[in-house]
Amino acid sequence: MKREDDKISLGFDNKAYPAGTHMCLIYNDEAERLKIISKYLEKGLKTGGRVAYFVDEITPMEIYSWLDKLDVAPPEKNLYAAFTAAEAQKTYCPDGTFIPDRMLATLRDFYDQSVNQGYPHCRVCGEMGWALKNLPGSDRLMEYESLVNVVVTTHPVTAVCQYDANRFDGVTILKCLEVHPYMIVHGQVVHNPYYITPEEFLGSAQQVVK
Amino acid sequence: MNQRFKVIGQISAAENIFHVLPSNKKIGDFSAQALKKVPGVASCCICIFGEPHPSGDLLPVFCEGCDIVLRSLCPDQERVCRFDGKENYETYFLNTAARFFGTLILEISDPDAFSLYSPFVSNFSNTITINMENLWQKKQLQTKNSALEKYRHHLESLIKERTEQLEKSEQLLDNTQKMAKIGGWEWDVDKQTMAWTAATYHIHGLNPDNHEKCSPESSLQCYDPADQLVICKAFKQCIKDKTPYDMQFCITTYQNHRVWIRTMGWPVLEDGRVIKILGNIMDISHYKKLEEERVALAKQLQHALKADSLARMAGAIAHHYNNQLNVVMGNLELALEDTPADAGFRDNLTEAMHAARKSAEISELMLTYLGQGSGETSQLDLSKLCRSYLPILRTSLPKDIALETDFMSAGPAILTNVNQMQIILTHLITNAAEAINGNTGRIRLSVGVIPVSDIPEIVTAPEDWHPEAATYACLEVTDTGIGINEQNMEKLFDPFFTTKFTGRGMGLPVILGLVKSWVGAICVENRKDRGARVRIYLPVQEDTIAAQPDIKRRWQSVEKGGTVLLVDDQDAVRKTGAGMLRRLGYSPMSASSGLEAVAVFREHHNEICCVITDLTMPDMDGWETLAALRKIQPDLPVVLVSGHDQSQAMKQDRPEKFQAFLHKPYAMIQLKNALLKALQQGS
Repeated sequence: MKREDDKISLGFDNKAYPAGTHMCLIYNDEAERLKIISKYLEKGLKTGGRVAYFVDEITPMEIYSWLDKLDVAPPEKNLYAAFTAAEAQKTYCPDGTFIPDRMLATLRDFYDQSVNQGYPHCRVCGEMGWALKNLPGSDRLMEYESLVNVVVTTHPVTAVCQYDANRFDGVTILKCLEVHPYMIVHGQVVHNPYYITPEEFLGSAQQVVK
Repeated sequence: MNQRFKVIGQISAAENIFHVLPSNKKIGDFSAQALKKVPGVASCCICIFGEPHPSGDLLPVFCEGCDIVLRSLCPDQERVCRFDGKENYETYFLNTAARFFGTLILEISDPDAFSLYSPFVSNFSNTITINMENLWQKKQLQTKNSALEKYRHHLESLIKERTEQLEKSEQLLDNTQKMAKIGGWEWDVDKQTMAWTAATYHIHGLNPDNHEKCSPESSLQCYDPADQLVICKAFKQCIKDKTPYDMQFCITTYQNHRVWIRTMGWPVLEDGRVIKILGNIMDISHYKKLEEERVALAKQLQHALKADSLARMAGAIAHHYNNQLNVVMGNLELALEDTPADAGFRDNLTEAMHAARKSAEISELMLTYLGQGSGETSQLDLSKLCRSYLPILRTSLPKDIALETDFMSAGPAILTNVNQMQIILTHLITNAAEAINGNTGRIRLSVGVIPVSDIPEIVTAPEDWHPEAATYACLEVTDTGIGINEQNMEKLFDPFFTTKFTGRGMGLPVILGLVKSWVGAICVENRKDRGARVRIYLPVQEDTIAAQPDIKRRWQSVEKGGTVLLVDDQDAVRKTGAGMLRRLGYSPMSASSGLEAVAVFREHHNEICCVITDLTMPDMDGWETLAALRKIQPDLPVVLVSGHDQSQAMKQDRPEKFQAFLHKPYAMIQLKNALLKALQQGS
């Protein structure tokens, strides 16, 4: 398994990034989103990594169909084993409540399992629309997002969090920028100047997420 | 320094986010949140003036920051913001030359700190405005696009609708063509290519997917060789002379079915030149069948009309012609009796009598043809009857013609009349011999029994005949002659139709009349090899066969004079009859009607020993006269006289019976026999 200092390709740009890079994709163009994400997933699978995708906008079956079209899902079983598509809500809120620590533990487990199974790297991608359903604990999303930055230092899971600008309000979007050290802008990964370290972010005033 | 760069970077990063934010409000919210991070800024808000409306107007919205309503950017209205120019507040109007989007309002807590970032904030406000304008433009474009899209959708749905209608029409046309069995085709003269509709394939017995067969040659193969030349000529003329064609043929399809088709082709001109031939091909087998049925029905109707006409003619013959003939013959007979043997005019009277008898014969034949021939029927052995008549038949044949026979040892029993059956045999053998026409040949006469199922479905005559018995006797005559001309086949049974100069044309009509009266049928056909075959089917009788009648039997002459009352509405008939009665030794009395007869009889019933009455009379007919007379004297001997034959006269079931029947015209001997029979039975 690559460590944090190992460089990986995200697929949608030509640069290499450290494993465990945590970034947000704020989008309002579905076609552009699909283009970026499909390359991200494709690269992960084609480089032998383990990939998990948490769907909210589409169904898991659509993801498999999507991969078929990308020609990254040949019939080899191991490839399907390397890819997991799950409903975001059931993943983040398995009992209907969002508990940041539980999801962080899930993230760690995902990383540990991947290591144990011999994957050289692993990546996740989540559609965050579930957070708008007013589920209990969903107001702690930014707290979770901030803590992910702590987890990836020990469990370098590369992560892309997708926020639909059409659905999230402007305040939340800025909050989102504060918890992701990197953001994807115009198909490029850039440093996020709004990023605030977890210590600073969590130490500040109560974070409210609509 | 780092802090300054960080803030500037943040402002720059925030600007990069604008492009994904879908509304002015979101841009405003996001920007306000972002600018709060700028040092020296205590708070920040943006009064968004309005969301671009699809109409292009900016609608006023409530401003949370200043609690006032910003009015629309109209020349006659003033923009109002209570923070504008106020101490510790920085306001930035977010507007372009064309539109006003709102106001960015910053509450400044540290003017010095803020002054470092003021240009960037100012630039930021411009970026906000540009993004808002972009959004506005984008929405305007979307609106236009939406209208265009709507119009495109409308056009698409219209096209779809029209396409569906066309497809339906094509389907309907296809189905209609299938149902109507009409196919279409098109020949491109320049490209030499052909196109067929599905129905055209079906008519040719081909699958519509079999495109290889779509050619003039494939179609031509279905035509009979002679028809191929005809249709090819018409097709070429259509191209060359621009003349359309419309023809009917019987073709053999690829499924080996014979189909009647109507094929039409007409030229399509361009600059006076034929560029295409358009055509139809229609399966008209059904119509042809209907046409044949119509012709057959018309023929039947014609026959029915002819039969009706002939029946009326027979009635006329029976009543008028025979009455007149009766007078002629009676008077001639009386005159001949009174004429000395050496009288010079006796030959003239004899000739006249001979001609009158011939006329009477023809009259008799006519009635026979109409199934009203006189002659009682009885059950007879057909083989025995034919066998007994063979010597006479052989005598009538020329030496070069051999008569072969094949009879059953006995039977079958049929209901017939000996003399009439002999007439039939004579006519059939004579016709067969004449067909051989002086050459060497053979005639074969056979008798057999066949089940009804072996009788052909369509017999030659009568056309409306339906077999009712289980088994039929078959009398068959075949010859090796010239056969029957197809054109003559239909007229064979017409009275007076003959192909022979000397013939009367009554042979086959008489046979038909007799066979009809015996509930039988006739089949006439040409044999495959040579000659003709005539078959007469007569129902086989189940009962035992009666003894053959003695042809020579005659009424015993029982001389008995007396007064005879003669009843007839025609004076000439009464006069002739009276003369004949006197000649026979009877004293005639006469009456011109039934009423008069009753009156005369009441007065002279002690004298009158017998009454001779005509059947057809005005007021009281023969039956009524008979009944009235019998009331006076129940055992009165009566002779009934009619121009019709006896069976016809007896059609009506009457309680009173007459003792004898006399058919007009009658000779003196027949009158004598009838009187004797009546008197004998009466006594």
